[in-house]
Amino acid sequence: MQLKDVINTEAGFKYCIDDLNIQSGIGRNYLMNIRWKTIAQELEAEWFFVEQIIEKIKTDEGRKHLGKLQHKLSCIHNIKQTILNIKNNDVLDDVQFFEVKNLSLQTIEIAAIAKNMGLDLLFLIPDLSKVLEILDPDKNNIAHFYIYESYDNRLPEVRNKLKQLTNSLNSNTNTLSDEETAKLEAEITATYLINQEIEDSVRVSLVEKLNRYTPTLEATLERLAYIDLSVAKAEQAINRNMHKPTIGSHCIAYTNIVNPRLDSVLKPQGQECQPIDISIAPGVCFITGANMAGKTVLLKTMGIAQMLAQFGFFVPAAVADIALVDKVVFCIGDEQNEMNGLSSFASEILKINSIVEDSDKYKMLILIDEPARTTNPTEGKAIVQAIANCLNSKNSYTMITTHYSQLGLDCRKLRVKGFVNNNTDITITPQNINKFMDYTLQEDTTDNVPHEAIRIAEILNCSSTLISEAKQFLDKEKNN
Amino acid sequence: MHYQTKNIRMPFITDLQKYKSLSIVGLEKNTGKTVCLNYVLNRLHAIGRKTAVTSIGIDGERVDQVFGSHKPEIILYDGMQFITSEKHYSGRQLLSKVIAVDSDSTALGRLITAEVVCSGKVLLSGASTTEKLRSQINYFVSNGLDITIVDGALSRLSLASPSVTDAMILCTGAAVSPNLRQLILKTKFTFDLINLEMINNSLLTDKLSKISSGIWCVDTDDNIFDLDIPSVFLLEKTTKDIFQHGDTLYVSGAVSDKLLKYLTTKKNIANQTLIVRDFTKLFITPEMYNTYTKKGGKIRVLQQSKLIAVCLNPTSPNGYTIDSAEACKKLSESLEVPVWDIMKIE
Repeated sequence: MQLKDVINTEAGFKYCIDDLNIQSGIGRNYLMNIRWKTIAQELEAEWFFVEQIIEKIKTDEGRKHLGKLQHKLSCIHNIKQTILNIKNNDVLDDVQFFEVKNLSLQTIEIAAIAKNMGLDLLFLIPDLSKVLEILDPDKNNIAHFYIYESYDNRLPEVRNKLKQLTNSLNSNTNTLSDEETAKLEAEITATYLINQEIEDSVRVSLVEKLNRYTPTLEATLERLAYIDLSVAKAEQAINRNMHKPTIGSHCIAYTNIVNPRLDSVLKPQGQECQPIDISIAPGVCFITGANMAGKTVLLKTMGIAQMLAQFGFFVPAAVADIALVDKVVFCIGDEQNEMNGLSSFASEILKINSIVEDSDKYKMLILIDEPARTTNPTEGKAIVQAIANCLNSKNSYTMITTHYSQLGLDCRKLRVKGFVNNNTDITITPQNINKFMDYTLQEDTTDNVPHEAIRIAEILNCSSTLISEAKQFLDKEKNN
Repeated sequence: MHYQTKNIRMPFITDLQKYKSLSIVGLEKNTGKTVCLNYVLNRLHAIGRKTAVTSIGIDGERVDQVFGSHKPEIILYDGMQFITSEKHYSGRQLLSKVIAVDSDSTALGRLITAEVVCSGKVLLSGASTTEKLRSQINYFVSNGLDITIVDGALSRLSLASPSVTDAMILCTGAAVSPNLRQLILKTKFTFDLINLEMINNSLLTDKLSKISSGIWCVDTDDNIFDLDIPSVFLLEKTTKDIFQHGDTLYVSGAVSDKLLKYLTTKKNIANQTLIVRDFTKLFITPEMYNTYTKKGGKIRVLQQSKLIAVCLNPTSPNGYTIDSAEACKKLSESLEVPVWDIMKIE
């Protein structure tokens, strides 16, 4: 599984990926191809790399270096095709030689910046000075390229002649007769061709010289791409206050976890995304709470953090101790697909079915949002009970949000605290409801769920007829 | 042709000293843009100005792409910098070194920036957007070049927009019309548009320059109001009074005959002022322009193009040649500026 396969599974995850400030095309390519990692050592090495960069760039001094480093990385072009041509001993044109020379120059400069930052031993950038030597015979150290005269001792003479001829043509345009002009032009063309021939032979020999460095060139591109990505990860971790996870053996536990996408929406409005503490063990954990209490957001956040961690990123929590899983599966409503002739219930139950089937083969993080909510409550409840029973004994981590009560299961239940408004005379509106919600999770040993749906409808300014009717029906039910 | 060589004639070249960028545009194809460019390049080289050349679209082709007639190639001199596509760079007939390669690609490959080592000929093909042109000009300015010349393709005028290049040369000729009277009329019309008066109000200019879309109304106190009409094409559909705030309109996009016609039907035509960004936004015929202005309407621009010279090519691509001396004289009388025969200037 690569990042490009799952980038669109959750918008919040894609948001985190798009948020990366990657400079080069090769960096972006690398990003899309990163693998899902399940080996602790591999991930720890990745995180260590990012952590080291963060150490160096979080100071003001480091920030300055970072700008330079990023600028240089943005100048790196993807020249894989050119390297392949060298490997096959195909003759390159000047533009391709220029690209190779430019890569060498930029790489050497990036290595120098890394050294200044104290990151050279971490970055381990391949040395391209031998390649530069080949393409910079006059040691100008400037990013330009043509077939320099020092490549072949016949070139200076031919080119001098060419210059003289063109000069005499250009400066005497008005005095030369037509025959003289034609003669001069023919001579220029002939000299130009001789020059071309010599240049071509130089090009052949240059490719031969470069050939042995193709592994180094390939390794350089790969390394720079990795550095570009890692620097972007480090910058993101600083800007978004993300932290390095640790890998425990059993639980997935976060302190102060936030949803980065939600946070970015709330911040400009002067609000804050309330951080949450949570810890889950293998088996099923139900999440209950009033409507608008952030249950779905919680599921998404858990999924995003797990995906970020296992692709080698830091996570949006102050402390994270995670367990590694084979994959993250979301089953969050919006799966309806009329095109396949499936109702929302049908597509949901099929998805859950495949999850249950997979749960024997894989260790997963399973996130199911209000299953069976689109059918009658009697059967719906039974289905929820069945799902929980099937998954509770597996080694996957399952989180299920629900509004069904009296499930009578031996599963853990976490409840979102919900409304805490009793001490205020401010009217609650859809805009400020955030401030009256406490999103903290607490263990719930009862088998009840909050009944605040009608109240939420009131807050959302639903018509009074609708509300009072609902209340009447509710009373009737209770009296029976 | 034999001319005296000691004192090379250089009409209008000295005028170029003040400008960082110059566009050469033609009223039609085959009005001698490339000959004019070669003349300018030759003289700039002679006076030692550090020059860069770029283009919009394909140019400098050996054989005219539309008529198949012979066309002069562009001659570049030692030390000049130029931008062309990968395809045309590999076919160059001069010695040059690559100094930059653009990361994004055009239809003819990536754009290559190079410096001439030994003079010769090259085909130019360049960016397809004025946005890109602007960044190229900035690149050359920051690299310490004195002037960047933009060669136009076909009869595109957009690159002559003062928001892209500081100064322009207008090429006209028999290709526009073999009939001298028609030629003068058409040239005079474009000339008039280029020289449209700027609004004499720097505060209002500042305000309007920042607007990138829509149609706006300006009241007598220079307050501006968005009319919430996304395009001039929807103007006729609108039910509100577009002149509710004042008699001055600012149109940020293109202005067509249709718009002028619509404005002519309004009661306040005698007091109307229509403001556009610059003359390249006007896609109007002389007839409609005359109707509009005769009824009292005025067209003003935010930025005026600096016209350096008008050049004339007496030969049209179908072989017809007009009397150069007479054409230059009459055109010059009509425009009240000197007009140069581009074929004789060298």
